[in-house]
Amino acid sequence: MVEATGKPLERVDGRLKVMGAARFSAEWDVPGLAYGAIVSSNVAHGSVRAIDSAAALRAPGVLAVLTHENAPRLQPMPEKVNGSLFRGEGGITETRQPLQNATVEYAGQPLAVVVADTLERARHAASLVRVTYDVRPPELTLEASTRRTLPETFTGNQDEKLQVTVGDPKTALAAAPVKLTRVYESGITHHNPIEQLASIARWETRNGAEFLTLYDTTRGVENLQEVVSSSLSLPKDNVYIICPFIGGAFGSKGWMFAPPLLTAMAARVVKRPVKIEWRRQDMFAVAGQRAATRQTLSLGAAPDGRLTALQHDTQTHSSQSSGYTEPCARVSRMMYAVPNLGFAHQLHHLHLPSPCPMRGPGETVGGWALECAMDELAAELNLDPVELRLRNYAEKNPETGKPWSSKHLRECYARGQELIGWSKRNPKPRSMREGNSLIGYGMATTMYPAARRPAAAKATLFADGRALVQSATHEMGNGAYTIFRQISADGLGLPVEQVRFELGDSALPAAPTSGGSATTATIGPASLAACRNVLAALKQLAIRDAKSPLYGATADDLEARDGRLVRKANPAQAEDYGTILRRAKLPSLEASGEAKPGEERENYSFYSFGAIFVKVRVDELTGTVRVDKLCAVLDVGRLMNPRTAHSQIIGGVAMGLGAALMEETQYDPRSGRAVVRNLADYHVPSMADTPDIQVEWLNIPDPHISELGARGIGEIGCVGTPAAITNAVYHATGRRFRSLPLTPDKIVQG
Amino acid sequence: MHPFTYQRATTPAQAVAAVAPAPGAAFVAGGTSQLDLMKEDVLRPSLLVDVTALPLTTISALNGGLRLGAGVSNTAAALHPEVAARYPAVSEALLAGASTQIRNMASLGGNPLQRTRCPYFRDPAQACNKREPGSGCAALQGINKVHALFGASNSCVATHPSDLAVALAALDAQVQVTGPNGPRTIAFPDLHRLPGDTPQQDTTLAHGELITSIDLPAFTGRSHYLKVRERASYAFALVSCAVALEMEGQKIRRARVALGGVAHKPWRVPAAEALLAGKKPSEKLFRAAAEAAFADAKPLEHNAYKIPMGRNLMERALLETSGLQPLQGPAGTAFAASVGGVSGE
Amino acid sequence: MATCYPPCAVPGSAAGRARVARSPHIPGCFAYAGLNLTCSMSDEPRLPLGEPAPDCLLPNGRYLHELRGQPVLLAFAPEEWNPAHAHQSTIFTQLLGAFDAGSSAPEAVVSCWHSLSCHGPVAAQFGVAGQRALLLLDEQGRLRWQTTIRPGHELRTGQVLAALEALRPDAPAPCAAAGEAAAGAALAPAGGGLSRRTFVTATLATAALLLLVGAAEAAGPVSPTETQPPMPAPEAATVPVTLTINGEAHRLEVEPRVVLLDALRENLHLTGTKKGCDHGQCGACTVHLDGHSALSCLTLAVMSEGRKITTIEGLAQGETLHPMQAAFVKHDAFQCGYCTPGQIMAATALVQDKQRRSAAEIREAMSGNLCRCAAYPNIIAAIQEIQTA
Repeated sequence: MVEATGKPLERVDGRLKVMGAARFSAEWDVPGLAYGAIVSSNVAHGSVRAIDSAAALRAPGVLAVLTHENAPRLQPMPEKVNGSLFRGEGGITETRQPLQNATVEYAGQPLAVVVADTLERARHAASLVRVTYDVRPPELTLEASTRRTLPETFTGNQDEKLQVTVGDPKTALAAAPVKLTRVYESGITHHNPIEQLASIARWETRNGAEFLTLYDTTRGVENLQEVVSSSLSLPKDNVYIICPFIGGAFGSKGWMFAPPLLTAMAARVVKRPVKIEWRRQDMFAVAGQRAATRQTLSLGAAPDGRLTALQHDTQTHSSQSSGYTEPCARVSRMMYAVPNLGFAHQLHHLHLPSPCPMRGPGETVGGWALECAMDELAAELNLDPVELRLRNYAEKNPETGKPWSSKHLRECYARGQELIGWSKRNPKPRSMREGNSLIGYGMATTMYPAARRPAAAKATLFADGRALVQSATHEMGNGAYTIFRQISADGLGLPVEQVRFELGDSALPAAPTSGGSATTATIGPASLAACRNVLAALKQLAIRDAKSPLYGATADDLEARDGRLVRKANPAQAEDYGTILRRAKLPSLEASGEAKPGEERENYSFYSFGAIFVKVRVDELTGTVRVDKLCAVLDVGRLMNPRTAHSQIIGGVAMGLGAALMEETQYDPRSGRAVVRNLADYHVPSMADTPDIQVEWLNIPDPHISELGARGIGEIGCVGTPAAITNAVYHATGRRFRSLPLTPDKIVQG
Repeated sequence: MHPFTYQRATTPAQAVAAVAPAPGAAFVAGGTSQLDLMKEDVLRPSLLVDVTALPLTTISALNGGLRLGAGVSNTAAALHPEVAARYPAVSEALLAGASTQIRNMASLGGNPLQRTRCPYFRDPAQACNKREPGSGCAALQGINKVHALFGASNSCVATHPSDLAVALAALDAQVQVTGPNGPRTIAFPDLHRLPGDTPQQDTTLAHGELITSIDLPAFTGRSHYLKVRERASYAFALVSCAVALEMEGQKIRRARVALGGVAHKPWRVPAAEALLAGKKPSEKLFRAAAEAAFADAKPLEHNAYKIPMGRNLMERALLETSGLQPLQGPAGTAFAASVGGVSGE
Repeated sequence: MATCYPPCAVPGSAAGRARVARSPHIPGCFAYAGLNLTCSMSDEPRLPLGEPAPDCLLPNGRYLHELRGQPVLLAFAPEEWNPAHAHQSTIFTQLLGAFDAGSSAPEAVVSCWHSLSCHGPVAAQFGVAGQRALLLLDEQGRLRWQTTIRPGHELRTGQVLAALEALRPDAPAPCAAAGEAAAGAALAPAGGGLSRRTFVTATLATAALLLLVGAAEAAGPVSPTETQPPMPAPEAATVPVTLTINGEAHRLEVEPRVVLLDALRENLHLTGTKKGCDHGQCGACTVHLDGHSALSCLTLAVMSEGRKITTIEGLAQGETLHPMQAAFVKHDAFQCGYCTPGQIMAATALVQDKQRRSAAEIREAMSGNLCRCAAYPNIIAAIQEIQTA
């Protein structure tokens, strides 16, 4: 049988998605549904003096108004959930529990929930709630912050220290024959998945105990179950969470818990199911964001370009109740062979909404700063930017000294140059022009850590020969339904049509929050383990069954192939799965499997690599930058499905393009209210902005990451793109831009 | 959204009669701007009078020009062969605005009446004299990147967002209006007003007055519209420029230029127009005209970039209109009139 | 219909018997849609109510006749994969906890739930070939209740609850008639009067279906009289509106401020049209109004009266995808799938004029539909394929 893994199978959920039949969280038809609407804070700092709900309560159809004065009490957010630090500096999430006190820490903070019988009535009644505040001056800029910290780790992970010195970067910089220090700044950006946050909560009494079902836009049913159950003082098993489809996440929908908690609280109060679908403007307050950064990059080099020192210091911000720190040195810490390496992160707690991971957290803006600085150094040294990178090619991880599990970055550089026509460009800045446009070519290295986490799965064989594999992971456009079906089919020796993969349900075997480009490396091996285990059980059935042609064999004598167990020594002796089960009077046979990373993590450093090359047109007279062509060549291990992988890379690249050229959320510097809070003013790339994107792969299996050889691909497209574009704009114009995004107001001249 | 009552009118008189006596009443046609603002609680009409059934959906010849019914959709107007051939600035402006879907829905009568994109106007929690007279102007000292260079006041620094209006101002279109006191004609440049102390009033229309048509006068010159935006499509103008150029032999007989995104109304530049009249087109002349146009610009903290951008764009619009430069527009702008993407029109 | 059932009833309390029962470990014997069965039968006319069902082999390897003595629920659906099936099993298991096990042991109840391919031989045997159908057999193996649905139709909660009410052992006869009219369900001549055990089975299974609306099996026809929102009529002024959606008239009572998008999603439960921004800034809610692409979030429902409304649910012909839908699948023109219905509606409107547009023209014309996954190059490829087809 031909392996399904690695084949460009069409998405198995494609049919549902094009028919509009894929069911998203706001779309479950729960009987007796009421609607919640949010009243959020107009001010950024202070406290609620009074909330006058009288008019809202008098409005037709209103069932309740929840405020901090009457809302159910919640337990504090847990310290740690499934290994991730939640509370404290460097912690991943907002720890503020909604409607528990009168303090206001950012504009847009939920202050009340109005529940009514229709959506329109709930929204209207919410506008009738009058809140008065004791306002205090908000701290909204890095300069103004009074609470600054130096978080030790990113999300509590000891492998992700945020303050590190290797060698003596300070002395090495002072002594370097060539050196530069540059400051790079990036603005706040938002994930803005097209599906808005939504939850439906339904309470029931079972066994005299309360039981909560939540349909939520989450990519982490396990974490959400833990947070919701502990917050509401329920046994974990009394919270059931469903999310078979997510309308895009990109880092959101995983780490911000107020929306589902508010929905659950509202449903408990009105004693009927409640739906809260958050408005787009709310997505700029409660859904997480990428914080702004100010990064100082210092490079010291020998005259031949070899780096002698790299210091990367980041100033960034979080909210009052989150310790989340954009880990900007994630690229600097590993990309180049530099003996003296230092990085630091200072966190400013502001009166702004909480940040959380966003596609390439740290890498996208931190890698941008590093790769732009490398471009500046190349210009300083009059070296080709690719050549400078080759001279500093890291053969091992410079921070830890560990060898790479697999790295073929040189091939990526070489192929990328061919694809874009690198050698045909005039390397001199501001030397190429077509019509109104200056033409520029730029490149950057891209990368992504190849994480892998523990997970479980369950495989069930049915008497008709079909199979079901399940794990509580998520489909958010990543192709999870498709690739895990492919992997499971191979694991079971079945054609892919005979196998289903199910996910997005907290009752399924545990899986971590889907993210960090780790889902394939995490869930794939767990699925394979479950498949192996169920086949082992099936072998035992056959071996012990006197009526089976396989009777008396040992497990090692048998292999699974084309839906049959076959005696290796004599393939004529075989029996299909269904026959074995039916004779045993078993409608089905199931087994669990678990998989987790092992000591390979101690021995190797796991990363994906790649190179991004772009051609841009810069119209300096109007300030307009247009990406003409973009090529990405990637070394991401073995591909599970080239079709879905290609789409994922395009998506990452386009998000990098957005970060480079147009995406920024601004907050009013006095009130702290978002002045960009809709999709007309927050520009995500449109079809007209997105060029032809050429993606190529090396497709070299990683021998160490797992038996699948696959590293993740969700974020690597995003990481190098902003720097490649910024460097191309320099090549076009001869001007350096060190502030993202490169909007026309910054570029325009004359 | 606040509750309201709804009526459907079948004649302009009926529509006017329904709206005029009710202070909280408003007309609704495409609804693309109105419903957006109603959902933000910025607009709270008590009565909406639906004017989509009015017989105002034709484009017809009029005294050598064209009469565009107020109910004609943006798409239908943009792709109308006479409009595209004789008034390309109108087609270009319409197609540069919004998206296919919105152009299908929006009406010519409603388009010039859309409200400002000032973010403070759109957020009821912020001070805004336009939304709530007397509350102040948060934009004046706030993030004023998209705000006005010309004609602003201490009460309001908002800009007008319509692309179409800029082209109509350059072409000296006329607006036919009917209202409680009967019909009247407004020269397009007089339709919108400067904010002064009453920024709540965008236009010179009285309550209950309904635009019935937009009349394009006879015009044999060339016209052209250019727009700079942060995204290649589906974004409001940072600045825009419409040019209507009439030649006499080698010389410019009359040039009319309107700028968008720089004022509370489409901004005509009489000094620059005077400078152009009677001269032979040249890069130098156009540069001088553009400089004259922006000589009085009064930038705020975040919008000074609009001065070079506007000057360059105006110069380019003049160059492209006069034929000194091929039509290119800003990088990444798609131009073909066939991009309207409407079906069955 | 809402008079038959409290509108806010949860399935457990609907049966009037919510109470304690330990949720047992259910072996993985619940079936799911699309199993191939080995018995072969030719196409048969529909089985009359009250008649004994023909024997057949079920996906769990047992024959139907072996299940005599317990009620059996058969659900037929297209050979179409739907991940909601995953939740069928878990929800089902949890629902058991809310019901009185009583005469129906939970294991028995679960094991008598069977989902079958509507293209398989058993569907033909029961006369529901190619249709989504739900059939209930009583302890004697006789057909007691069945409901079918035409392609593209949706199940409404109220209809199923009403039908269930009619099945109650103590249900009054008039309500049974109402149930029949409402859900298009056929009832055994006896009306209610099912054994309590059969009723519990039906309740459980149907309650599971309610949580799974959109799961392929769950279906009931939408009739013009059945499209009122489940909530009591608003006290504020509502207006009657008849919307013609995908060729079918739907009568609604809504406030004038209800936009078409919410009327579709909340009132009619046609959730294929998506809400991405609610302000005309993303295109996810694109529908066709009189053949033109338009944004349903900025269109009042009252203003849509008299116009021909087409939604994503109206594109496919039965199980056959519209060519644009098929091209989207082929070119992987989506990832998460949320903006996809809007993209497809915009794309189908675009190609109606048979113009061949360049990639640049498609880019401009389609820029009103944002895709945060940025499947744009693949969407262009899909549109180009249809243009040149």
